[in-house]
Amino acid sequence: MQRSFNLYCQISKLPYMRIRFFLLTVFSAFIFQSCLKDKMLYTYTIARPVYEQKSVVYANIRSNAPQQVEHPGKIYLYGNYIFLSEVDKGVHIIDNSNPASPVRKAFINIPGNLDIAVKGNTLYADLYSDMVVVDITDPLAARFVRYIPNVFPYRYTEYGFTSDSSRVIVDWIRKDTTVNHSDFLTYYKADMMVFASSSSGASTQNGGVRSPMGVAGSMARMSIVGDFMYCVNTYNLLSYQLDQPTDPQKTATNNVGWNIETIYPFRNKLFIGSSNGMFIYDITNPAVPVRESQFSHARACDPVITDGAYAYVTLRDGTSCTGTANQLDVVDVSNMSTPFLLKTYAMTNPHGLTKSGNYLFICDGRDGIKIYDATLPGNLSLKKHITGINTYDAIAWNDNLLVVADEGLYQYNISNPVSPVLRSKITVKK
Amino acid sequence: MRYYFPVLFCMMIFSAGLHAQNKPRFSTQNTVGLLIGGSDNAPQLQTVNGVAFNNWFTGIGAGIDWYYQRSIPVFVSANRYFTTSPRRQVFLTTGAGINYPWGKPDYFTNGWGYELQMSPGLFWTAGLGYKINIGKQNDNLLIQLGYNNKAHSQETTYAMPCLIAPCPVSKEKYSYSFNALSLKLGWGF
Repeated sequence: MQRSFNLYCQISKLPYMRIRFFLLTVFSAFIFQSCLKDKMLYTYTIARPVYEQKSVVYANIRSNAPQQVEHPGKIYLYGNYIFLSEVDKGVHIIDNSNPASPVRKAFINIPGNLDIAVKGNTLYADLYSDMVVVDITDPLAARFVRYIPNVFPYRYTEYGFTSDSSRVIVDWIRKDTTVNHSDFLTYYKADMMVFASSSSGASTQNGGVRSPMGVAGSMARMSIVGDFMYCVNTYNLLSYQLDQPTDPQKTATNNVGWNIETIYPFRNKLFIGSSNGMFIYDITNPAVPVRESQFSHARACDPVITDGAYAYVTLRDGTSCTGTANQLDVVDVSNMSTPFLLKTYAMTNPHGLTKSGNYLFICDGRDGIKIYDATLPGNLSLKKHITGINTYDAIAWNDNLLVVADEGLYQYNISNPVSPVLRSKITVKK
Repeated sequence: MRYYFPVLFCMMIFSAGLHAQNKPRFSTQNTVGLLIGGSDNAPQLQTVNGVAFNNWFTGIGAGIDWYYQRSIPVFVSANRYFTTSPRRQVFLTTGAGINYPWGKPDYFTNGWGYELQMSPGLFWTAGLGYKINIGKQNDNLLIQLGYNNKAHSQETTYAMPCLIAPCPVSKEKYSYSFNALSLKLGWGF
C-alpha cells in the first residue's frame, strides 16, 4: 500500500508542479496587470469665438471688395442684382445683368447673417438677433443706416456662446487638439456621468416673393408686402410698417407657435411654415395679421409656396428639424379657411422650391433638382431630374432658374422647363 | 501603405514555415483564453489553421477578442517547437495581422446628426507555449502565455444644428492601442 502511494506521488509530482507553476503564472499576470498601459488618444477641434465691438461691426457694414462664395445661403433678386447671403458672414452683391456671366461686385460684412429682404433702395438683413437696415441706393456703395434690436431673439446665442450687448461674434478660430483619453473612457466604462462636477400682395407665378424690384426664395424668414415687412422668428410673426423704409416701425407681434421657419406671402395672405404645420394669416389689415387657418403635418422642416389654389409644402428631416419625414405635401387651399391634404409625394431631403407656370422646381437636397409638371397637382409628373448637386433653395424668374447649392450658385435657362440649360455657375470656394 | 510592413512580415513568417517543411500536414490550434490589461479583463477565442512539419507550425488565424472593444483579429501565425520530452514541447509563438472592430462602443448612442466610423488597426501577438500530447494521434493540449497588442480607431462626426445647411461638423477621433497579457488554453492536432 505504501509502495503504491509512493509510486503515485512519483508519477503525479511533475504534472502537479507544472500545474502549480501555471497557476502561479496566471496569478502573476494579474499582479502585473497594472503595469500594462493602454494608449487611448482623443483628437477633437476647439472652436473659439472672435468677438468684435458692435460699433466696429456697424462701421464695416458697407460695400467692401468682393469675396469668394464659401457657404451660400438665401438669395434675393433685386433688379439686375442678386443678393446672396454668405452664412454668418454677410451678403454678396452680384451683378446679374448677364445671367450667363454674373459678376461679384461687392460684399457687405454682416456677421451672423442668414436672411435678407429688399424694398426699394433699402436692404434689411439679420445680424444674429438684431436686424440691420442698409441703404443700397447704389448697391456698390451700400451704407449702414440703423439697427433694430432683438428681432430674432433665438439667435442670441451661437453654439453655446453668448455675446454681451456691446459685442458680436465675427469669426471662429479652430484648433485641433489631441489628449490622452484614458480617464474619459474609464468614466464611461464605469457607467458614470462624465458631468460629475412680394410686393403689395401681388401673387407671383414664379414661386418667389415679389417686392417692387425683388424676389425672395422660399426659405425666407423675412418678406415684404407693400409697405409692410413681416419677419418670423422661432415663435412670433413680427409686422413692421415701412412708410419710412429706413425706419421700420413695429405694428404687431403674433404668437404663431413653435419652431417657425419660413414665410411666403400670397395676395392678402401669409403662408407660414413651421416644424409641425403650415399657418395661413390674413393681412387684409396689413398692420395686424390675423390667423385664418392651420394645416398640421408630421414634425419636420417645411418651406411652403402657393399658387393660390394649392400650397406646396416640403418636409424634411435633419439636425435641427428632427422628424423623419422627407416628402412633398400638396395642400388644397382653394378655401383658405379649410386647407386639406391632397396628396403626398416621397422625396429624398427636400428644401426650397419654386414654381414657374405649371412647372414645380424642388431642391431635393443631395438628390439635386427635380422638375415636375404640376398641371395636375394630384398627379405630379417628374419631367427632369438634375443630379450631382446638393441644392438648398431656388427662384424661378423670367425664364431663369437660380439655384443655391453647396457647390455654388447655378443659373439655368428654363424657357423650356423640361430641358433646362445651364447658363452659369459661381463656384463655392472649398 | 500603413499595413505594408506587417503584412510583409507575416508573409515572411508564413514562407519560412513552409520552406522548413518536407511533408506538411494540416494542423489546427483552437484556444479560449483571458486577456489581462490595464483597462479591462476580457475573454478571447482563437483558431489558427495551417500546416505543420517537424518543429514548425504556420497558419492563418482569426478570433474574437472582447478586450474593451469587441474585435476580430485576423492574422498570420507561426510557432517554433522545442521538444522537452517525447510527449511534451515548449514553443515560441508569434503572429501579426489586422484587428477589425466589431460593432460600436457600448457608450455610443445614435442621435440626430451623429455618425460613427470604425476603422481597423494592427494586431500582433507573441508568447511562449507548452504543448502536451494527449492521445495516440496528434491531439494535444495547449497552454500559452503571451502579450497582445491590438489597435483600431473610431471617428465620430456630429453635424451641429444650424439654420442653413451644410451645418458645421464637429469631428472627434479616438485612436486606441490596447496592450494585454494573454493566457490561453486549447486543443489542437
